[in-house]
Amino acid sequence: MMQGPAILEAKNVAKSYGGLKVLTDVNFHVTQGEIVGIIGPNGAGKTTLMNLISRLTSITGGVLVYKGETINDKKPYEMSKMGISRTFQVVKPFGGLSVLENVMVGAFYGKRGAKSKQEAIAAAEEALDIVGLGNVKDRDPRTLPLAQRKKLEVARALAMDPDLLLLDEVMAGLDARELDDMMAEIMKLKAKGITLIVIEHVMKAIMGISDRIVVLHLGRKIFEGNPHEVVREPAVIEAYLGSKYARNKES
Amino acid sequence: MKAGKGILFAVFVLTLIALPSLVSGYWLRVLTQTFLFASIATGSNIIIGYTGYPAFGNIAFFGVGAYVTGVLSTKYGMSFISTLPFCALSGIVLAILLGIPILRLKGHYFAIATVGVMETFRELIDNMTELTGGGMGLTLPIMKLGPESIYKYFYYAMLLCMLFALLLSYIVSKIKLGYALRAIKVDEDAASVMGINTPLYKTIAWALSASVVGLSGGIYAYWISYIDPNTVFVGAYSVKMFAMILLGGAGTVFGPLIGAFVLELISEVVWSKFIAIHGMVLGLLIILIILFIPKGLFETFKGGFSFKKLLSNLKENSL
Amino acid sequence: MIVLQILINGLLLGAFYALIGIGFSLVWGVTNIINLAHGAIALLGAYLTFFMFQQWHVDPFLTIPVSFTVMFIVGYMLQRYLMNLVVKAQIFILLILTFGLEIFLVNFMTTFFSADFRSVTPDYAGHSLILGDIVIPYIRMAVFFICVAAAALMALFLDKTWQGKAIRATSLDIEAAMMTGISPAKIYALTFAIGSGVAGVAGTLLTLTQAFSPNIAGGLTLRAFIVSILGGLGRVEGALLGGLVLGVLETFSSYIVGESYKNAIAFGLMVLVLIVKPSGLMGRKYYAEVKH
Repeated sequence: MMQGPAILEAKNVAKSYGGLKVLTDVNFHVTQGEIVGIIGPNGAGKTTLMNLISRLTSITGGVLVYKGETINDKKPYEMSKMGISRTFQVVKPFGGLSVLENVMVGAFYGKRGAKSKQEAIAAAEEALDIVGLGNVKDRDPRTLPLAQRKKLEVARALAMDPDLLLLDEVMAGLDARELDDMMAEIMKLKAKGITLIVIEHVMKAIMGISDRIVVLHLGRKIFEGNPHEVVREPAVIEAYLGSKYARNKES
Repeated sequence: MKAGKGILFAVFVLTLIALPSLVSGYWLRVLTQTFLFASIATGSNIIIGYTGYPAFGNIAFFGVGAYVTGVLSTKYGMSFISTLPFCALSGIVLAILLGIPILRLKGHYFAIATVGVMETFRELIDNMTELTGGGMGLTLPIMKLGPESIYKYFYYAMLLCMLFALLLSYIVSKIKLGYALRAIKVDEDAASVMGINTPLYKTIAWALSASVVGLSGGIYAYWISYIDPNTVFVGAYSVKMFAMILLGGAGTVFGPLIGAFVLELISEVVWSKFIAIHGMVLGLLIILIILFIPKGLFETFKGGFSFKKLLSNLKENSL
Repeated sequence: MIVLQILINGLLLGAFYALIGIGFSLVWGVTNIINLAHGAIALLGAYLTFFMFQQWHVDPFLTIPVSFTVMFIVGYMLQRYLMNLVVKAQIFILLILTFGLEIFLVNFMTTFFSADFRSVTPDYAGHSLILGDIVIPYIRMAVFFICVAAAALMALFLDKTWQGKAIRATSLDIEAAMMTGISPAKIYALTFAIGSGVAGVAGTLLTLTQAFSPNIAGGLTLRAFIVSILGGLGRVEGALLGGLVLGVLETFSSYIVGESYKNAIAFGLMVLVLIVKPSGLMGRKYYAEVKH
């Protein structure tokens, strides 16, 4: 299954708050250049996993290896310099800065590390063009509709020049057309050589773009495989729809 | 800065430069005091307005700066001017040392920790009697100039301090650092994930802010020529500074300066009329600002003055 | 033996600090308001007692219900018609508002009651319980028991009465509380009223144990703050523990490094606790802290 070298590897990764276990012994890898989808019912630990990879929360067990280096003790800003970028489920554009300036922050401080304002502006404009926000670059981001704010998140992350991009529910709340649009954007990013981890509730989207899917349930990985395998796996169906439905389907 | 604003600002500065030959000593004193608060507010705005960390006890650096000048000039015979770099430096060093633990705190906790720092400094200086004179205070050397010249001297010194604060604030708002600070203000996690070394930048912001506040403390000490712990570590100054920042608009370059001029000149007018109850009026004034213009004069009255806007400001945050 | 005496003095002082802290901590925990005017409100209670004693020779202990009632009403009005207007604003706006109120009240007292230090000394002041080397003034002992009793009453109120339960419910989840028909505006006002009433009682007791002037308002507020931080927000037993810890620590440190460092140590302790354990010694997060 592995084509290229693994860019990210999780070995028995665990997270608990006091006695509450949010993630238990999660193992998976992400290969250079692929799109890995992470799905699971609410409370499965998807966003927690994102937070662990972007180093926003401490890891309480196991090891995360990125580009061959253990990152358990890294800070979020160090990860971004190493090429990890992410978006947030709840979009929070930096108010007081224009759309362009929001993206410039990414160009300045991400892996790209723009040295001059000109460089940052150029990178930011490029990122905005990729996601199709070039025409609203001088707006106050708080005035944009949701779909565009989600794209702004992606543009901010892109301007950082990431090698691994984590997308946390960038497609939730979009209508059908916006959804197709966003899926096309994501495939474009893949074509540019960016590796992606995508968390999504929208099944259509995740099935359409993922090379591989990791299914989490109650903090454990219950299955991993390509989209076709995932939809046929009883354990996944059971997790999503309850055990009764799965049994009925089997019989 | 747009051209119109630039011209307006140039006229403002030239007027201030020309004023000493036109107005009385009383007004020079009032304006010097206004410059002082404008410096403190503009400097503090870097951590409060840009970065979103309510450094309620920022006056701590003012007090320490005042004592740096006081001690260096009385105990070590240094000249006024030569003490000033040390005032700024004292702010920078303290902000870095304190920032490492305290800037991890958020909101209320950060605000109150800074008040704790201010009170701790007050008490320590109060107790270091040999060096600082303790509660007896310190009397600084008086310049060998006529009273008129001294007024003018400190008027210009404080004006320079204010312009320095403005310049610093302007530069910070324009460079890469400024973007990082505003990102931190909105969402620290998002800022961190975007590659901003948040502890470092917060500390830089506080240090820059403290350098201005420390410097203004040093100039104040020499100007007023007598300091004691209770006259330089004043909680009420913190509140005034906050009110000025809010009045003019937090996070803008010129807001705190404008807030300082408006509030200081108003309270000067009030001062002279109601000497007995000036403190009460100041308290009321602050309450009214918080109730009706918490977003600043400009944001509130963008399209002209109206009572409706005042009321809608009031309703916005009420339960 | 001296250690025992210091410990006792510390506990006696600590119970008073606890009483100052309880109301402050409750208001903070429930409404998310750090009331910087808390000390000034306590002092209003102190002046009520002082003037009643001076004008009509009312025994200070008998003025406790008066201080409570008057400050309760003042507190209710303040929250209902002032604080509630800005309660949803950013935290530092609330801080400045209450500081503005503090400046107003302190200057009000200075203007009308003068900045002189005052104290109340009834005839029975000066009598002490003597046990070997240990000396405990009866007044301080009475103050101690009143503080503990007031704390117990407060805990009972929050636990057993409908209003108390409504306050706790509001502090834990304001939206859920509203769905059960609780009016947050009224609950906030009631909370602030109780906080102020208890502060008033603390003010009355203050007159019996130390000299006071409007200028000590800030010191009282900061102690209330330290107690709340030590004990965790909105918790009566926490405030009691925090008060006792602070009292003992202050008394011992005064003995060891000198009276004049007492404040520096209290403030230093507060900053330390904030850094190490912002949720307090008995910490648990209250709704007000979690929401933002």
